[in-house]
Amino acid sequence: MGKRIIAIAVVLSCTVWAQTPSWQRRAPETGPLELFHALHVSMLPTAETLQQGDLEFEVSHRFIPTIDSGADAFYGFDGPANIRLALDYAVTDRLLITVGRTNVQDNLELQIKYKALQFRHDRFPVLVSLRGGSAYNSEIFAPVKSSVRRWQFYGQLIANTLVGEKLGIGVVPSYLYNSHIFCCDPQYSFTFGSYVQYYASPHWSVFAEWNPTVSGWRKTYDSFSLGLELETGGHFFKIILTNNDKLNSSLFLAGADRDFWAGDMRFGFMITRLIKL
Amino acid sequence: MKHLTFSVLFIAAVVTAQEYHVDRKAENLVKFTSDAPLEKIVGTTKAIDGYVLLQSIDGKQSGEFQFEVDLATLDTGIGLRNRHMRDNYLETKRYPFAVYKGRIIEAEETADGYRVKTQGIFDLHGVQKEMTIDGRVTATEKGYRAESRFEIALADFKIERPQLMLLKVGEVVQVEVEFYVVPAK
Repeated sequence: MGKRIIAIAVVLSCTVWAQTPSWQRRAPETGPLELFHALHVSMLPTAETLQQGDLEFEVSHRFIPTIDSGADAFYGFDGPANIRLALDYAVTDRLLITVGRTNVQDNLELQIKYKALQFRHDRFPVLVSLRGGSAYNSEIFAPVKSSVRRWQFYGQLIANTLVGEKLGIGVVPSYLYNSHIFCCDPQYSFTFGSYVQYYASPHWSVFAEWNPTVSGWRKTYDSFSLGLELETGGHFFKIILTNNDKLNSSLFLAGADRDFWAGDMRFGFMITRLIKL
Repeated sequence: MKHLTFSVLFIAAVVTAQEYHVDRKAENLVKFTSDAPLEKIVGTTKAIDGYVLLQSIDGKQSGEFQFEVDLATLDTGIGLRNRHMRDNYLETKRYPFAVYKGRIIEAEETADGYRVKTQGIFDLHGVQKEMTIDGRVTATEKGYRAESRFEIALADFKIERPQLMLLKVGEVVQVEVEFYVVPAK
């Protein structure tokens, strides 16, 4: 009798041991939608922002002599160079504020970028950001009609996608007000920028950028850039070949002074470093 | 008759087996620390989930469990670093969870709870490895609080170690886990 009960007990206990839990796994978090790796391609912005509280420091150069100046000028690297220093700060995960300064006309700019929309999609995820900025040209070489004309304003819509996690594609229609500060009447420039960036490995990528002026005032040529990007932890190093030697958006969007297709290209670089306070 | 009493007690004891779930609203914390030369990286998340089926047999605590951490939620404090960790090293799209599934093999009563030894399979980055992890369990108002510290050798789980700037990661990362379980509803 006792043995039988023990047997029953064992069977029962086994059933209890084999009890399947009612717990069920929840779907994993998807995390933020992130497409391009850096905040810029060459001079046009990507739709990316930073994580709240992150700071990014940028230093960029555009060497003014073109590469065809040859070995004597070390292909332009002997300078002189246009220089930009900038600091980005993420107020929230979606809102980025940038202060930038370039030695060209001592142009000081303030930008705001807002990550407005994100569409998750297996093949064509899309991020859309808005960017607005104002710039003040504090040191100018010719008189302007009034001191108000030292100010420039611009707005950009940025749409990005990333195909197969390798090929980033973006369009950046931009509107710049007062694109020629010395002109009698205020001019505007409407450009329709686009770029592609191919991420060959976690560290290396190549990119091309084109910013044609659709209407309004343009310097002599549309801007083109080709470049190579190295990403190492919190750094981005970019080596750029471009016909536009300007580095702050309000100066860049007005167009280029050299003909890219005639080989009038300049070397430039951009180095950014993420800083956590 | 003696057998009968024992069996009945045995059944009674076994039937008290109870399922507990991680209380996701509690102050749970999963933290890893990588202490490489020049760079200490700390990553944290609250996203731990799982269950434990607790059994008390002859007054001895035992049980089986599965605990898992949603790796995409790990935050090292820098957005880009998180992205590198997710995309290049942990590959969270392919392997979203770190899972430890096993059973309690020893439970020693202490002044405020139990010191437990567990054995199970640790599943991380698509690699399964048998591990033994010790922990402390204390009773709370509603259930139990569990805490544990252990080490993970990245090479064991085929996690490449980033060597370039900012992301300097040690060969071994320290993991600290603290979470609460409450009876399953």
